[in-house]
Amino acid sequence: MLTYVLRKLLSVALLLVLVFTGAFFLMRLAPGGPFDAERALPPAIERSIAARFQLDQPLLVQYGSYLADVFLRGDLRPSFSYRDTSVNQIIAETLPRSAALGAAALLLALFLGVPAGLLAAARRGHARDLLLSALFALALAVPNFVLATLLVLLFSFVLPWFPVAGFSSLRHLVLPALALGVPLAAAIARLTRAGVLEALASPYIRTARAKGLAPGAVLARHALRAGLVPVVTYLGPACAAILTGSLVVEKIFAIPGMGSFFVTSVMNRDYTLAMGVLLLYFGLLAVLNALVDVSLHLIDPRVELQ
Amino acid sequence: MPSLARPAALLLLLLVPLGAFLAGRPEPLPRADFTFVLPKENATVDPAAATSVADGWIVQALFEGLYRLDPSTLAPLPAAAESTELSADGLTYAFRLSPRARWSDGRPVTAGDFLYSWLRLLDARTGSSYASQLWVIAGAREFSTGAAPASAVGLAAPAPDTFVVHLCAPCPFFLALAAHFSCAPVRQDLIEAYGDAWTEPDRIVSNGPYRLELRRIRDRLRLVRNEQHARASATRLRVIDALAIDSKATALNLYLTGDADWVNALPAASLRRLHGRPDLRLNTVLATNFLRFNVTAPPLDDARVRRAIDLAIDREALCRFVYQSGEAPARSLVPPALPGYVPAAGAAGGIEAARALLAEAGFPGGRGFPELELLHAADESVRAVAEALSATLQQALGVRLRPAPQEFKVYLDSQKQLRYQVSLGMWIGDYPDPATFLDLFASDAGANRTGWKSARYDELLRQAGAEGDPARRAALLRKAEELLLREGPIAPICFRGQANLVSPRVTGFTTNLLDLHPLELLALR
Repeated sequence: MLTYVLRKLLSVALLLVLVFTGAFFLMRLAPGGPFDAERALPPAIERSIAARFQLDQPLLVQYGSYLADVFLRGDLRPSFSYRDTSVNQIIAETLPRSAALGAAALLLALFLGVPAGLLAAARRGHARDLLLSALFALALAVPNFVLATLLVLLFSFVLPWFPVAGFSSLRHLVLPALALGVPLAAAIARLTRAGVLEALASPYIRTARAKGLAPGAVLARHALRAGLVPVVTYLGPACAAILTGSLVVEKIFAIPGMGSFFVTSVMNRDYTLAMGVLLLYFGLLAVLNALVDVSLHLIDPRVELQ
Repeated sequence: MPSLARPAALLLLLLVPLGAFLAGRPEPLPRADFTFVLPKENATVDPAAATSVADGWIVQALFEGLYRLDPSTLAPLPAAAESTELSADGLTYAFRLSPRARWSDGRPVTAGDFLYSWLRLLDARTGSSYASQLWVIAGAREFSTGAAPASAVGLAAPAPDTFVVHLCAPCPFFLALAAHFSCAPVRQDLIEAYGDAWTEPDRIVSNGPYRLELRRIRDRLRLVRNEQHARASATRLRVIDALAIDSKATALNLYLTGDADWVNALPAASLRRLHGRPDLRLNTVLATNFLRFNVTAPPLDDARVRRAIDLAIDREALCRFVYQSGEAPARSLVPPALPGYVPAAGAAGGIEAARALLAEAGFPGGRGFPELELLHAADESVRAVAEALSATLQQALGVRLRPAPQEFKVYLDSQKQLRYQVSLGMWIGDYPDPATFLDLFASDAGANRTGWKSARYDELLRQAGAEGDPARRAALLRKAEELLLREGPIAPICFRGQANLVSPRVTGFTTNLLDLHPLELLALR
């Protein structure tokens, strides 16, 4: 286990340096700079801003000193678009909000998705299974901006139960968590259903049944455990995406998270903010995937840690 | 593996999201007296760094310059200054500061504060977009460009309550410049102590009608009345929230459910349906939409081709059917309604004249005319304009202008490098004077971006800049504008409109050319 963790940490660090390098040079290749605006700056002032953000140095020197700042000092540098704020501050402030919403959606998805998948699998091919499967397909097919807009229309305007947007109370989280969580619940339900069905067909289940175990116990104790393997595998990357915020849902519900930075920071050529969110996302993705490996190993000892 | 490890591990996996939820869950905030939606998230509250109109609103709520503009007449009113003496040659302003001008920590506002702040604005190291606006001050350009030391700038603070400014040429709109948000005073002690982080709510000290209570990134700024301010007793609203909302549709929803009292940026798709509502206010602002032509390459190097396109634009139809915020057809670059200036009349003649010009240039009926690209910023509402424009020009002249959307920064870069043929551009005026528009097309102006250079135009602007008599100055500027429109590196399309949805319970809201809405003047019924 220890060697696994160490090896994993090393590979995460390597991945992040690679992402850093690729992103650094790609961003510099994109036309237009962070300080281009309708109002053109006098050349002397443009030069002085460039110097302040060290954009006047040769590219490799910039790369080296930035790399050292990020990986040795953990300093993501000041943002270009939020003039008086550092990227560390921006992420520290916005990530917890995105993560809170993501976590709410995730919990909702798990508590809806796993039982629903199990219910569908228990009566394969019956009316209940068909109905649930159709619902899963529908929930997956409806784009989240449509779902979000429908939720606002129904539960803020027609039935004025929840605020339309904002982030100042728990009630503000209900609609966005639904918009984010329902498609995820459908995905989890489908995976659970498929996993459980596959498990039900395997010989050890037949053995369990032959030994006279009640059908409910077979389902809950044996089939579900094996059936959760694909769900847990899927949860790693899904978590990374959902915890760092959804562009669409955060935009529609005005959630002050970091979801929109993945797009706006690049559009604004906010090099440092774009780099910060990229590194965070990839770092989180790698760590969560490692966690998934460990939990798979715990759920099903046949899965080895490599 | 002990049998308890597995459930424990699964529980741990559930605890991670639970912990994340508890750590980042919303903190409740008491409701503000008044809530409005910013058209764009505030990037900074530092007067020297702010650039957008909405950043200006916030800066002017927090800070007060020497003068402020009356929102109904745009006339300069004394603010931190009590009075001004102008020398006979029109070159020296002596501002007498008001004894009631105080910072939010109680310290008096002094001439030294203005001296420091204006030099900081001019200093290239500050990197302000608005530094060049103060280059009418003697020695300011030289200082900004590094050719002279700060001591050479014509600014002085001979007494704590006297701030003296020497100009290099008469500037009839200087008080309006002094009222610009970039010229507000800032505190040297804070900036020296905290650097860029001086604007954080627990550090910032300001001298305007409000102080900064809270700043949540991507969410809101909370402003609270500054009780130290000279007009605090007349300022009605105590707590104001300025929301940062990305989606215009969401902003409209917040207004419709009563969670916002004023929205300044509305979704284009909803505007038509909002027309006729008594709480929708439409007005034209000091901003012009126009076509830029890259005059360095054929066929647009031929002024006749540019004039033909200019004449063939169906401005009335664009304003009626495409733009929806109270835009007005434009035949000049400078919007009308600026005091003391009558904009130049653009080219006369209709479609027939346009066709004749095009034929004269060698493209009768559009035959042989190459397909051109119409560059525009990738934005829903701009795209509609580009498409309508392209369709009407094809119909009128038989020329094809293919809309070519580019991401905003790429669009700016393409123009800067003159890698375009025709582009949809716009300019928002900063102060109520024609120079805020006409300076744009000087040969060396960074925002010219057309390749058009005219020594005569530059000379007219220079003469106007040195002219002390307002009427003669206006005549010179008008000549320059006539030249610009005749030679046609641009074709004006419309004067921009501004839509504001303002709750009926709000009073004191005035619309004006500069889209200025001083928060201190608002009240609730």
